[in-house]
Amino acid sequence: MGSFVVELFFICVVAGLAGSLLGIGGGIIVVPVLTLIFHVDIRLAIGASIISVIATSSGAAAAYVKEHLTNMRVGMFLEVATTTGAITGAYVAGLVSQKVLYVVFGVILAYSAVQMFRGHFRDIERPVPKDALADRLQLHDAYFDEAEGREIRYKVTHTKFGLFLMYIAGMVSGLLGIGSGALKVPAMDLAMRLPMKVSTATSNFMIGVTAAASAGVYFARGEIDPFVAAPVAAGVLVGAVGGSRVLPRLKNGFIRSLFVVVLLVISIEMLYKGVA
Amino acid sequence: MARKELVDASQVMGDDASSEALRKQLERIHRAESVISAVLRIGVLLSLTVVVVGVVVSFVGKPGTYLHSNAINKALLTRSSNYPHSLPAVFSGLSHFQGEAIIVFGLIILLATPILRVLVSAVIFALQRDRYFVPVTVFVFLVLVTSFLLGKAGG
Repeated sequence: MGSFVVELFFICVVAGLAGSLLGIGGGIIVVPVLTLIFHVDIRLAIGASIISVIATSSGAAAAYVKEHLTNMRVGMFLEVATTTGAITGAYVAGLVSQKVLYVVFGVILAYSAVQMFRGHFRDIERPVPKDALADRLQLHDAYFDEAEGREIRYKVTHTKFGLFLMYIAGMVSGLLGIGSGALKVPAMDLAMRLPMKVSTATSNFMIGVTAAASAGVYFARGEIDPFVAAPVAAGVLVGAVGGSRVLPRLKNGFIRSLFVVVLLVISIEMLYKGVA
Repeated sequence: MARKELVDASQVMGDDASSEALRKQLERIHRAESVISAVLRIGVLLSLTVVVVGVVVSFVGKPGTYLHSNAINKALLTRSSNYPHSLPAVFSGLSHFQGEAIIVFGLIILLATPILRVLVSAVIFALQRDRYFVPVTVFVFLVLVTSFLLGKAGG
């Protein structure tokens, strides 16, 4: 029989790896593992997943920011909406049925997955619609793609719509405590037209701040248990730092396919919770 | 880094930008990225170190509790948050070199890192006199502070 701390550590390395590649927090791995395998109380599992989100974000963003894969200006601008949304979500939490929310967002995620799968066949470098706000904020950028061995320039579009989607994404994470990255990446990829790797790296940059906005509450309520959170934090950090070394070398198409699969899994998980 | 000099003028500054202004803009972006990356890296390394030290201290203190999943599950189910979860409790635990308090202190460093990142960005943008991103980052910082205060009041 293995020990709790070692097993949990290694599972969280995988969660950190997946989270850093896809711009999500790893809660979809951490929460079921803690509750189903280790029989940890759901509240402590959610507290640990908040830790996991912040660890994934900071662990990988250190590298993505330095390599200029993260579009910091886009990320910081959108944080205005995600943080405000998170507070709104925490306040309206009692007003709406969680079950209804799970179904609604399960459907939205399934729809995003289909759209992103179709986006696979779209010409990535086709011209994007002009966006005055993106011009003014100087959001357009370029990154060096190691997989393709060349610089890729991109223009950002639909900034206002993106801001609206981020408000919704922030609200969902405030309401359900999960799934913020799963909504952020499609918003940046489909609406704002960022390259896939820039979308996941920028989402990764942002999720730490959204989670930090609610972390204080979980901490004060005593839902961040050091014995559960320590292996999670350490494992996820190691996995995220590892993932951040790999992402620059992976192709946008591969990341997109991986993301679509994970999005479908999360969507099914949410629909199940809404119906069950 | 050389690769950043490849960025086209029209991408960053608009089509009528002079190359000198572009070079300065790129330098500013690069400097901001280095500082923010360093903040994140230091926060992560510091928190990881403190958490690991805390785990080792806890393990030395009571090896049975932390080694086997049965024992830990039992411990998790029976105790109801008797670990420190307020700042005074954490600091009093630290002064007694308690493993749990050391772990929680490491986790607090982790939680504080993204917030510090926002604050540092605000300072960088202020130094660079960026008229759009100073209000943006200051606003985000204030929202984070508010959410902490609301959390404290409500939780």
